[in-house]
Parts: sequence; structure tokens; C-alpha cells
Amino acid sequence: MPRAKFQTMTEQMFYTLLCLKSECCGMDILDRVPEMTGGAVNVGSGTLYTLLEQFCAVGWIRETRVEGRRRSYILTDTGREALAREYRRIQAQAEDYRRIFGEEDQK
Amino acid sequence: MKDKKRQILPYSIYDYDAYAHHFAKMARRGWMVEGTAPFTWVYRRCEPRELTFAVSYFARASMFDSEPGEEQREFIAFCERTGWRLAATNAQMQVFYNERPDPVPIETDPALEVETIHRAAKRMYLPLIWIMLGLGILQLMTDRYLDPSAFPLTFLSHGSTLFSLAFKLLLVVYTAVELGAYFLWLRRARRAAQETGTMIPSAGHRRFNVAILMLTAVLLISSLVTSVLYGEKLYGFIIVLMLALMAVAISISWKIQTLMKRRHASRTATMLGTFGTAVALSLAMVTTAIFIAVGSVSEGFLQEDAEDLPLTFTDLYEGTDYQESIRRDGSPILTSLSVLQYESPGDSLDYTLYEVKLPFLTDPVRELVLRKLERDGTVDGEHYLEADPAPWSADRAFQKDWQGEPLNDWLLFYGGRIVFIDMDREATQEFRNAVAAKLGRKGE
Repeated sequence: MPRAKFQTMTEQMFYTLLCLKSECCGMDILDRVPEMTGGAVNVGSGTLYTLLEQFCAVGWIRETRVEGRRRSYILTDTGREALAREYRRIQAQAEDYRRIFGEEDQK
Repeated sequence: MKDKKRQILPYSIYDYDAYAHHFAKMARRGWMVEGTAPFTWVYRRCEPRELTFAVSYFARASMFDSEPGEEQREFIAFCERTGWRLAATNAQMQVFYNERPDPVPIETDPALEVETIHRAAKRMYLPLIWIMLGLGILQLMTDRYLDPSAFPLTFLSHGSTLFSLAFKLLLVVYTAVELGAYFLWLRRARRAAQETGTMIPSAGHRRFNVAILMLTAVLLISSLVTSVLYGEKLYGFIIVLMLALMAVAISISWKIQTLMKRRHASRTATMLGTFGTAVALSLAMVTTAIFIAVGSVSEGFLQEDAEDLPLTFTDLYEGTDYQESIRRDGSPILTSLSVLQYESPGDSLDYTLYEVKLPFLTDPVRELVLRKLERDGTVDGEHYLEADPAPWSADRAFQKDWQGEPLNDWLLFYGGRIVFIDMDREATQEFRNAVAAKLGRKGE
């Protein structure tokens, strides 16, 4: 069975949502994500197209403008909550790491 | 110098890696893929280039679209943004190329990619394969020659039925393997995406597909050769006629579809136009084939030749004014010749001569006949009882018996020859000698 939908986010999902904190054209996310992550994360065009469709369908983002083939989107409150939930999950993981290795890393 | 090239690619529709590698190889050789035609991919000549190809799937696309819809255009625009340019489409399959040396792939999330492919496959590929499998199974189930009550030698001696059975089996095997391989790949791909976040290589049973293609061609050629060699002229004639008419029908349907797309007809109109034309042409094709075949028979073009019959009415009786019905069939396993010559009123000669072509099959075929007759006997009360073969100079002889009353119908084994002969009166020794001499072993 595929991953339960959006139960946990991939890096690409996370950064796509992060880009949409303010209104952004879908296509521009293709450039923004690598910029934001120093090239560590890239989103494929097909993947991004599918993600935007699915995020719209679950109400995490909404379409704000259509100019020709350029559609703009923005994060909704539900999307913001989902993103915050994911942040807390990642943060909890980071804290767990720090608790186990924190002192050694500081040496 | 030709500027266009066509190729049949033996890849399954979800074998995106194979397609991408092949199109890249063709581009290096100076051929850029640009579209499809019936059963083939079309290339145009170009400067040899090192390009990266990727096959993506867009579920909402259709082969009946005159041009990409708004959503598909948006998808293409997304791809163009990362350097991917559309080269060709085949229904939901979208073939892109990229001139950059190490481009960001179109799909970067394996789990989403698997589901995108599956969504596209559900639109056309899977329903089509399921329908083909269903039709194949239905045809096998309703094949009258596979009916246990059918006489086995009739089946084995008809090249046409043997080959049509082989084609049906091939269809069932091909579609079953195609579906099995697809769902196996889907399961593995989903698991790999979920557990390791990787995309497994696209499933390939390319050798199997090539084997199926070659086997189909071999079967087609063999069935034509068999029809010529073993006297099934009508069958061979119908195959050639159907192939020619099918090529015409496909070509016309494709042209109608292209024309409607060029005129920007809607997807539904193009689909109805294409299918409508295909159905109308198929009906016209079958009707034409029947008319031509029937016409050829009535004109005597396909008339069976009576000159080289081993045993004729005049070998046994005085009269010459008899009517006749002759039928020859054959396969690489067995040939059959059925002859009925009769005066009305008067005498008649009615026999069927089977000849086993492969000596090692003589005993199994004899056994098959005896077992079948034994089974039939328990149903209709007609038994073939073993009799003295010496008067017939045969290996074995059997006489038909109905409720204890012997009939003048005989089954005779002469080496690889099996003879059924029915008579109106009791066989004289002179008659038996004639049968042994004419229908018995070859060259004896």
C-alpha cells in the first residue's frame, strides 16, 4: 500500500508548502525550492504538478490567480496547521537526536 | 534519403526506462521521436544529439485529443520550466527530452510517480488488456473444437482450427502475462517507494514481448503455408483477404482520426468517429470477405480437385453419372480427405482418409480415435467392434455395430492411415481389395 496520504511529508511536500506562505506562482516553486535549500532539494515538474493538485484537493492550499497557464496559490489555515504539525515532528526528532548525541557533538 | 522512420517497440506501456533509453539512442543516431502511427512510433531525421529522455504520464490526456487540453498544457509548461520539452505523446504517455546535461527528473517523488503511472494505466491500458483477456478466454471457452464431444481428428486435421486456437492461446497468454507483470511491478514499486523512498526500474518483459511478436508472425506465415500445402485453399484465401482488408480498415480509421483532430473536433466526436469507422469497416470487411469467398467457391476458383482422389466411384461401380462432394483439410499433424460420390438413386462411396504426418504420433492418434469412439458408443449405442483385419489387408479393422446388428461401416488402420468407410451394401472381397490397394499404406 502507498504511504498514508500526507501522514508524514516528504522534503518536497514540506518545501512546496513552505514556498506558499505568501502567494506564489506554482511554476516558480520549481526555482524557489532549490534556492531555499541551497540546491539540496529539487522538486521535479511532474511531482510539483501532482502535489499542487493534491494539496488543493485536501484544502492545504488554494488557488488565488490564473494568468494564462500561470496559476498562483497560497497556503490555507489547514495547510499552515499541517506544516506546523510536520515542523513539530521534525523538531521532536531533532530534540531526540540532541538528547542522545547532544553532549558528544558539542565536544 | 528518407526523413521519416517508423519502429515497432516491444515495450509495455509502463516500461518508461526502456522507452527513454531507446529514444535517447535514436537521437544519438540522428532520429528524433515525433509521434505515433498505428502500432508504430514515428521519428524524423535530426542532427545526432546527446539528449536525456523521460517518459511521464498524464492521466487526463487522451489519444483522441486534437491538441493538449488546458491542464495538460499547464503540465507541459511546468516541464518546460525545468528544460523538458515535449517530443511526442501516445495517449497518456508523454515523451520529453532535455538538452541539459544533468536535468532535474520530471518525477522526484517515487510514491507519487507510481500512483501517477497507475492512474494513467487505469484510463486505457488496463481496461484494454482486461477486455482482450476476457475476449480471448471467451473465444477459447466457446471453441467448438475444444468441446470434448468434438471428434479429435477433425480438430487435428484442420490447420485453420489449430492455428486459430494457437492465436487465441497466444492472446490469452500475452494479456495474462502483461497484466501479471504490471501488477507485480506495481506492488514492488509501491513497496520500494514506501519503504526505501526509491523508484524501482520499470518492469520489462521485453524478450517475452519480442517472442510474442515473432511467434505471431511465424504462426501467420505457417498458417498460410499450411493452407497451401495441405489443401485448405479457402482458409488461406480468407486469411490473405482479411489481412489486406484489416490493413485498409486500420489505415482509414487512423486517417479519419487524424483528419478530425486536424479540424479540432472534440475528444468525444473524434472517439465516436474513429470507433464508428472501425466498426463499420470491420462489418464491411467481414461481409466482403464472405461474399468474395462464397463467390470464389461458386465460380469454381476454390473447387477441390477430384482428379487425384485415391479411390473413386468408378473404381468400384459401373456408373459414371454421379454427384460428388470432396473436402480436403490438413495440418502439420494430420491430413484428411472426405469423399462422397453417389448416384441418385444408386450406389454411393463415402469415406474419410486421415493420414498422420508425424510417424511417432501414429499410435497416440489411433488411441485417441478408439477412445473417442468408445465414449460415443456408450452414449448412442453404436460401437465399433474389432474384426479380422486380414480381408482388408489392414493392421486392425473395426466394424460398426448398432444394438448387436453389424453395419456396413468400417474403421481401418493402415500404418499412419486411418480410414472410415461407409457402404450401402456388404463389402465384397473385390471391394475390400480395392480399398486396401487405394486407401491402404502408401506405396504398397
